[in-house]
Amino acid sequence: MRPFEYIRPASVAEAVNVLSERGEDAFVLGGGSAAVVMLRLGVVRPECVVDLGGIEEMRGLQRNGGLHIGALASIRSLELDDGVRAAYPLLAEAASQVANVRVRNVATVGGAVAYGEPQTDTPTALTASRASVRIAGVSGERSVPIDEFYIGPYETVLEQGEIVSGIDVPEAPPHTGGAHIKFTVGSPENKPVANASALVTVDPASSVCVAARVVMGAAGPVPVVADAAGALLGDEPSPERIKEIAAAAADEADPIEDLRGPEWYKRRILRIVVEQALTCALQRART
Amino acid sequence: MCAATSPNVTRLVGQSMPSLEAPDKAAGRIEYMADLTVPNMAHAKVVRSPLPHARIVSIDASEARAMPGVVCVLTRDEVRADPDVEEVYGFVYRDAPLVAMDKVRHQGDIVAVVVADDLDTAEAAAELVDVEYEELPAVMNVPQALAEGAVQVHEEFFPIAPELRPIEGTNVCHHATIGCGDVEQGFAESDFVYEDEFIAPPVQHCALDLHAVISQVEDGQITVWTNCQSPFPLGRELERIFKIPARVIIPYVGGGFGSKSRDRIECVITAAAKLAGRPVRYIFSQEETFMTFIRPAYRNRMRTGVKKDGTIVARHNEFWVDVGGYAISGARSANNTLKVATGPYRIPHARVDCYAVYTNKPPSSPYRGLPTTQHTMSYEAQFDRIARDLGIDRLEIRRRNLVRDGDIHITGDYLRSAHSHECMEQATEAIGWDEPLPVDPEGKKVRGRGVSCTIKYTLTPAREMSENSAEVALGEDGIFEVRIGTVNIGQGSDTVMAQIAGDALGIGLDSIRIIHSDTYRVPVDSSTTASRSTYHMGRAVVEATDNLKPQMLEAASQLLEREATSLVFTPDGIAQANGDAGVTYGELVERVGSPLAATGDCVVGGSYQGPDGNSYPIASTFWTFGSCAVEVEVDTETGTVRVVKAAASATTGTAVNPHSIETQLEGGVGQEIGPTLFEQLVWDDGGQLINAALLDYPLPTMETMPDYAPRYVDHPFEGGPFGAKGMGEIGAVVVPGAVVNAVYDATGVLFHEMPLLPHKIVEGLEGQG
Amino acid sequence: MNVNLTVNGEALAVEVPPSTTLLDLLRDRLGLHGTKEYCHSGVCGACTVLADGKAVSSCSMLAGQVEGADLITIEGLTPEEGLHPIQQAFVDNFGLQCGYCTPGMILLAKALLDENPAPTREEIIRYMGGNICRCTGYAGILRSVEAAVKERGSWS
Repeated sequence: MRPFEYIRPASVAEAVNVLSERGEDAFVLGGGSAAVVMLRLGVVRPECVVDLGGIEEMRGLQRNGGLHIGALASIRSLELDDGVRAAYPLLAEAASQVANVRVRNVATVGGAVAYGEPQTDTPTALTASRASVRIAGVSGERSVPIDEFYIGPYETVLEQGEIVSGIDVPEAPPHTGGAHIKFTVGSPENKPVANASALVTVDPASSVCVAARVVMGAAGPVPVVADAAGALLGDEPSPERIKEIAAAAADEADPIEDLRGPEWYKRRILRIVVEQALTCALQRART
Repeated sequence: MCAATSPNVTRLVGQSMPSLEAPDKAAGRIEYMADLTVPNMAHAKVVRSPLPHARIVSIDASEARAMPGVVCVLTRDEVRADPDVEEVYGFVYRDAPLVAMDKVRHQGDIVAVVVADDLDTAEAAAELVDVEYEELPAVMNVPQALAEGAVQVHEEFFPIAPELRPIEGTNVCHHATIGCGDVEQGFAESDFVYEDEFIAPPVQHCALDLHAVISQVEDGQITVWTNCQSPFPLGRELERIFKIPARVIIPYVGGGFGSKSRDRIECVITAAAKLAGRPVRYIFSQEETFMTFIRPAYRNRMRTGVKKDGTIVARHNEFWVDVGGYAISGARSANNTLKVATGPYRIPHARVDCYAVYTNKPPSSPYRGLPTTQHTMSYEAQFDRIARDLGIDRLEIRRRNLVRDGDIHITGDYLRSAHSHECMEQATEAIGWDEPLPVDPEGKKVRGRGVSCTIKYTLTPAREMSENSAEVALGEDGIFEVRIGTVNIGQGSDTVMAQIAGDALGIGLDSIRIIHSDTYRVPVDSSTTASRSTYHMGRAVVEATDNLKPQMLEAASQLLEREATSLVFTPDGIAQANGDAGVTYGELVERVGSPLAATGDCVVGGSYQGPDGNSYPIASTFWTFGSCAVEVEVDTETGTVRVVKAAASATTGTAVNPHSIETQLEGGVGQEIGPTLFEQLVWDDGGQLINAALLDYPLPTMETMPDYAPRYVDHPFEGGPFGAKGMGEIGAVVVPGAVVNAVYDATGVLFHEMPLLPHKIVEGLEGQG
Repeated sequence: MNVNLTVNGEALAVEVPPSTTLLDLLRDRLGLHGTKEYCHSGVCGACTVLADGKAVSSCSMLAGQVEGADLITIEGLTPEEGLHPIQQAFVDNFGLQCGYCTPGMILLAKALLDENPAPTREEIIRYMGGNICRCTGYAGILRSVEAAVKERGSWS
């Protein structure tokens, strides 16, 4: 690996200061599971690496009306935390499907969000959960809805010197069900061909949908929020209706041909995972 | 012969036992190549071609050489300037320059070697080596390479092995045929003729222990540490190239599966070490292994003529193997499989054409069974098509055609221990062939079963010779040291040899020490490949013990002043038959004053005298037969194929270490599920490999594992050590054929191309795409 | 830079260049060769070690990231005499062939059994699914872990 200077700030303020000072010479390290590989391969060749791992204030999960996920919280903590599993099962379910347990132990939620990789699971589920991203910079902190956070593959609204300091997820109303479905070729640890998260709220009296959100991953340059989910509102959809909505959602996606399949196939898989996610989410919302 | 002969009892042979080194492996105490260092060692980084085919205009390494910490840079200029270095490597096909001379022939081809005090410096300096290329048109696959007017990857051919025959003026570096009867007559006599074409992709072995080498050239002597599977041929090649003696030392090897059988990197690094004047270490990165040795792309066009009852009358089989930029290994590997391309079937009229073709892909190397795996997939898939078309049961059509003892194979060999029927019956029974298949209530997932049968050769010289020796030496500590060239690559060879030596000597494992694969400490062996070690090295070990015993008796007889005929071997020493005091093995050596040692050879090749009194050629010392039955589940919506159950069966002769055989079969099946279902290397239009790393090249995991049911047929094989023969490749070889047939059974669609990627399955089922 | 950490129970302060990975630190600086390298991208698991009890890929972490951490490598799992029960289970059940993936597999199994003393077969497969073995087809590894689970009562 090429030599670099290593800086481990102890606070967000210290981190954003050093990042703004060093500008393009600096490279941010979260958990490192993607960053260290990039450093080894020489994909990035920074003069200095800023390791956020020592920033205490960016750790942990807090529930207080909503869920605050410290940027340094590991994917695995999202998967295992009892509170998350109870109140945000969609997030726990998506987290449990990311790569392998070694990666999940180290990779951070903030890193997964900031990296902007389209072929992963956590951003899909966070988008479905209407999360917002807290961004820290020298001029202070701002919060951006996650729908507006992504610009393209590996491209976000983060400006030079800014970092993701945390993610806020609003608490879902009662009678909400969520599900995340990941489809891979070969082992489930592999990158998804496509994935989908569905979050649905039903009126317990009438059983009709009162809120519905469907987000597709590996479906385009950024997580794709399916407008087709709107058709669920006021409806108690039959399996056939869910199929139609899933097909409409898949049509909204913009997948590209890659090693995991041609475009037509990914669209087909998107239809299947959306259907499965919706079916499962509705079932959970009703129980 | 004296009274004390080899005991016929087997106490170790036939016992399932974990490998001798298993506790050290579990403790992480075993040293592999990457764990070794030598004093004053420098580190190498190889400058590799980014282009698949290009002429080298210039190489400027001056900046790299000037970098502090850089020891030297090896380029074509240094190689050419050294009169004591031969420029070109290859002991089968001599076509690979140590470093690129005039041009590069594949992405990753070796252009220069930068040697520095540490690896970081070597890597940084390697980026400063300025190479100017003039890009040439590349031929990235066999059809392109065979097209009219295609650029020639090599202008001249240099086959070394006598059986290799290039076609001048083309990219065919080897074409050969094998046959029997009269194929045209056979087709004329057939009721039906079927023609199919099958394709299998290039894949990587992904042996986790990365290929690595340390080379030292000192005082006119080369010493190379490497995880190569062929230490003796490599040593001879080093001596030819550098004209000085070479010693090759192999530590424990973390898997090879053929990838480490004969790469040229040891010679390249030796040239660098010679230039550096100090030992040099080089360890491949995972990405580099993907550009250095791969299982070749394969295509097979097969015509088969049958009678109405399914009896095969004629077969013409043409197959093309993409050997990549250098044929250092691929051409002969392809040629070897001519012997098995028609399968374990009686075919009166057959012809097989083998074409090994240069392209600008990375060089090919064997992969656990060579193209036997792809041959088996091809003839077995076609066989199921024929069975279905003729309305004959799939097992029955095989029973009607499988070879039996005494049949004459296409090579002219007289087949012995040909228990392919038993293998098939065992494998199918093991998965519950006749039981009803589970039915998915939603109708999305369909199940099916498939079977395949195979025949596999082992490497066998064309003439009678001994390339396989062992030495057994009794030391003062009373330990019998068994010295073998077999590389311990994880297959359990040390254990099997200890079991064989122990029973041959009537002693326990505690009295045996295995010394393996150091060309200065063990006698010659050709290679650890092709399922050959148990048979060949096992026989050499038995013969060495047979030669040692008279020496021990003679020594004991003198010491005890008793007739040799009154002495008997015991587990601890030589005793007197009448119960008087004997001598322990340790004392025997101590009192003789020097170790007692003997060598043994395994002479193979030549001819076989059949029971009919006729003489038959031996194209393979033994043939291993095998079969696999699988049950698959096909998700018709997503196209996912899951192998639910898999039973592989092999003819093993006497099972020396039964559980080791079972785990070899499980391992072979588990590995081959990857290339069958999802592994394949992919190049973009610019000839760049786009998935040279595990992140983009997923492998089988515990989650893709089927329920295994390994089986074996253990009739002792005449001539084998305690009746044993080899089987290490069979588990892999039989998989794709069985899976393709199971998918055919489940869906009614016969797929002709591996891997069975989900989108291909959907295309096949729905005619999409 | 200076890194303070505990490796196999021993508190250490190690001076390394910042670009050193945890894997390099263990292998090259501390001579703990039981931790292996292959893919160098967090996929294969040959480099698995335990950091504060959690299984991690040592290839994908910088040495600086384990400041203050408590690390266990295969050398630390292995008792002075004999083998740890999980190691013994791998030996007895043919859970290894070439042995290269074995230290990582055993440490991953240790992490699993520490988290979940009685995992089901499905839970074992899901947890162990990330680590690559090229020799065994995984059957022997699964048998080994299941055997270790059965023996779980006899060790801690």
